[in-house]
Amino acid sequence: MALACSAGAALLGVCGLLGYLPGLGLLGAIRPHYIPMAPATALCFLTTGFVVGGVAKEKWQSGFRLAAPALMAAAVAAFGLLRVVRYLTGSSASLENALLPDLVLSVFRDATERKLHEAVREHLIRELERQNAELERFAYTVSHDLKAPLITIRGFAGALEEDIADGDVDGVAADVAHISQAAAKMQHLLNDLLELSRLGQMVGPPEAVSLTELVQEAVELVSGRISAGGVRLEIATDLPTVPGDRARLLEVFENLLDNAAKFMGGQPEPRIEVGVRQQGGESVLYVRDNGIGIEPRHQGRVFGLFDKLEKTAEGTGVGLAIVKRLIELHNGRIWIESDGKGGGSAFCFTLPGVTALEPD
Amino acid sequence: MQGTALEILLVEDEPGHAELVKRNLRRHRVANELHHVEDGEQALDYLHQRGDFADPETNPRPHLVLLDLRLPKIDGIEVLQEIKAARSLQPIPVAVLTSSDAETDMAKACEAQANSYLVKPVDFDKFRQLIEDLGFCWLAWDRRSGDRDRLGA
Repeated sequence: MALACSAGAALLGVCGLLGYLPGLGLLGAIRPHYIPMAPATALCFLTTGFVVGGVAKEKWQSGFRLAAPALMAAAVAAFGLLRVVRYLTGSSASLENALLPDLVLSVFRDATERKLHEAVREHLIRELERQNAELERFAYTVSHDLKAPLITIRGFAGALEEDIADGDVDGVAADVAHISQAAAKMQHLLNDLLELSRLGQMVGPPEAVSLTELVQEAVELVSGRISAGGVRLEIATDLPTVPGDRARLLEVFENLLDNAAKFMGGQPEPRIEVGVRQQGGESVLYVRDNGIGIEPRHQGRVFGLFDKLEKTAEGTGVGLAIVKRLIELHNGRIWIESDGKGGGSAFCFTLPGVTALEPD
Repeated sequence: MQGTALEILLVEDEPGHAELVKRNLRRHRVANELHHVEDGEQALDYLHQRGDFADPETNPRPHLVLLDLRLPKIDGIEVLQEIKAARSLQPIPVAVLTSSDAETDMAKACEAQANSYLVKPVDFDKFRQLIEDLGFCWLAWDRRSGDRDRLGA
């Protein structure tokens, strides 16, 4: 009888200690890798209880031997119960903190925290590596692209000297024109670069943004190019409300619409669609056009900083790099769907959280 | 200009740089015929004589390709790889002409069997040396028609 009582109390106490009391709704509060530890420990205690109990039964006469297992069982049970009570009454924020002084628990807790810290550290290291690689690419691009106008300036400065010495007036005028064009190009690049570098700091806390309203606003911002090209717009009526920085998301749509309208080629009936579709359990937003399209082999470079597929197109090639960065700052992804020349292209992206909110 | 001209294909997307190259080749009396394309796709179309460049009369096979690395559409390294992988194009010397002095770019160009690597701004005296090194000495020195029998080697 004493054996059964001791074992039972010990088991109950251990279960309580580890927050492993089915039916009390505590399971959800423990971290996943706690769970396998709980039954294992309970089993250890149970075995100890049986052994101690067995010894106690043989030496029933000895008051000391009886007191030892009973005390142990009582202590474990008391700690466990105290812990459950503290958790249930809300005086402790979490189960693991409910009984900090307990040695056994603190050992478990340390292991848990260490594992967590390891996971967090691994994640941070990977993130740092990714950012480092991005920074290297960025520095490479910047140094290369900023060098280009400098080379032009230096080159034509030399040419200018030669032409002055030769008394070639037309040549002098042409050299000066090249120099000032290159200087203007450099200024554009620097402005765009500054804008891109500020993006990270400028993304504010997310608010609920109605894309229906936002797209309408973006359309107004690029209305000049859209009406000039005679582009027909089809905007879906079921655009969702998404969490995000309103001004930044406006910039995303403005850039994508502007880009779509810019590369219509000779399309006699230019059309841009803005819509949303469900794919693989997430909402995919898209801006689709029926313009010149982008061949699959070029699609990877479109989002690159200062990368331009059409050399003659206006702009420095920063627009889509900005869009990509903004989508990423919203934890989303962006990609292109296009067969290639003349087939039009669709810029598709996700804005996590889109599925969580109801459509307007 | 007499006889066979040195046909150079210049692949360069910066109009200013292309202008400088043309000017310097002219001043240093190196190039006789310079064909200029602006991106990697055009370069390959030119070399394979297809698309807009199908006519061999106006778009002759170049003796030398001057290739920028950072190009729209198809990257310079990719163009280089394709040239060196194509049996018919492989013998054409390719001089990379870039503003990048990054070691990684040099290594990539070297690996892709570039015949030379020139960093802009190009020192055209050195460039003329290169033309000689590549075996075009007869063209680098404004030769007269009497030298024509040495051409086409």
